[in-house]
Amino acid sequence: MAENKETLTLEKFHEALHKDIDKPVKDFREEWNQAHRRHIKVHTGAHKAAWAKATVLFDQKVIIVHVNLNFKQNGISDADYEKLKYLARIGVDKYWSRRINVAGTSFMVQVKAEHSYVNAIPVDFYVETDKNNYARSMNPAILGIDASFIYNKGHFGNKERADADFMLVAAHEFGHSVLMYAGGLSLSWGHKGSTNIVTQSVKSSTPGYPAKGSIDLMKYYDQEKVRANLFRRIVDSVAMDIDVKRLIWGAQIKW
Amino acid sequence: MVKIALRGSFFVRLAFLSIIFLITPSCSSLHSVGITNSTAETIQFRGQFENKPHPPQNLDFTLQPGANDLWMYEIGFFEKNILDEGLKRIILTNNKGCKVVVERDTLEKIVVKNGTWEITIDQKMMTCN
Repeated sequence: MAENKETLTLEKFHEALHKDIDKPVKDFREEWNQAHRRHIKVHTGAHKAAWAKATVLFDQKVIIVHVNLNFKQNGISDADYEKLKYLARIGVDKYWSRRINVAGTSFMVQVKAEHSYVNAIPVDFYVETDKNNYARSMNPAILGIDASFIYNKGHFGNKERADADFMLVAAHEFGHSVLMYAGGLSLSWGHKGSTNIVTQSVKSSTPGYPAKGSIDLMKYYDQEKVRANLFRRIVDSVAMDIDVKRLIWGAQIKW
Repeated sequence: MVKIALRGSFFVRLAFLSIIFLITPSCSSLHSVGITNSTAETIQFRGQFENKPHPPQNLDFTLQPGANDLWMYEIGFFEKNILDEGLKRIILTNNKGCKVVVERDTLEKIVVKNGTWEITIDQKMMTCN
């Protein structure tokens, strides 16, 4: 696609980013509060997430997004804690960094996850050693409930598989905070329409894994229709363009 | 007052949904089938699956010598933990042109349950006459 180097302005970038994720550019809070009829008090949320800060390097066509996660050690060993912090950060960076297209111009988005005690998504680390139990991670992203990132040491039986799975899972679970912030329960718990919101089971209309190409990091796929091997999920999974835009939309932006 | 009642109702519903959300994942469980290539040849793996009412599907990947890979599947709370019930056979082809088909009943005899269900492809399995 041809780049509009001459015409793209910060205003156009901002407008296009919001439009791409179906969000208004203007914050309607003030108007709604002044109205005389009953309104649910809702704010657009644009650029107000405390845990994400984006720097747009307009000339270089690079967007750097710093995201804060508060990794809690709980009862795991110091060695495991350091390892899981590293893997979780690498996972988020790897699966959320990508090129996006805004108003016809390509930007490289570099996501950098950092451990922080304040203004951060709270995350509890666990290590599951039971061979016969693949423990599921989760991130409800509401009501102050911590996310749980679980390293399945026992189930996989080898370090490479367990590490790769954990990085992928950490990136997915982080994404629940992005989707919740930008789109609420149905987008986040419903895995972008691929699962039932409450039961988390795939819908009958949900397809199997795509035969080739990118795998949406935040969707579930019906494995009874098409399965995918772990190596392919590691290589082909990525946060979609729209979800990275949702992350930037929520992030506090520095131009 | 109406606003407070509405807000209260919203949070009650949200709390209820949250509890359901937290407990429902335990209603099904995830399992894995691992494949290890212990031969000295690169192997093209094909798994053939049938999960009715869906059409049969293939899972294809390449295994370098000594490499391993896996796929995951989900079973319900009341379902027995057996080797992925959709798996019907595997077809293995090495770079010397040797093609071996291993049916499910044979796989059930050689698979080892060690957290994951592990299938090891060895030289004996890859013997072509």
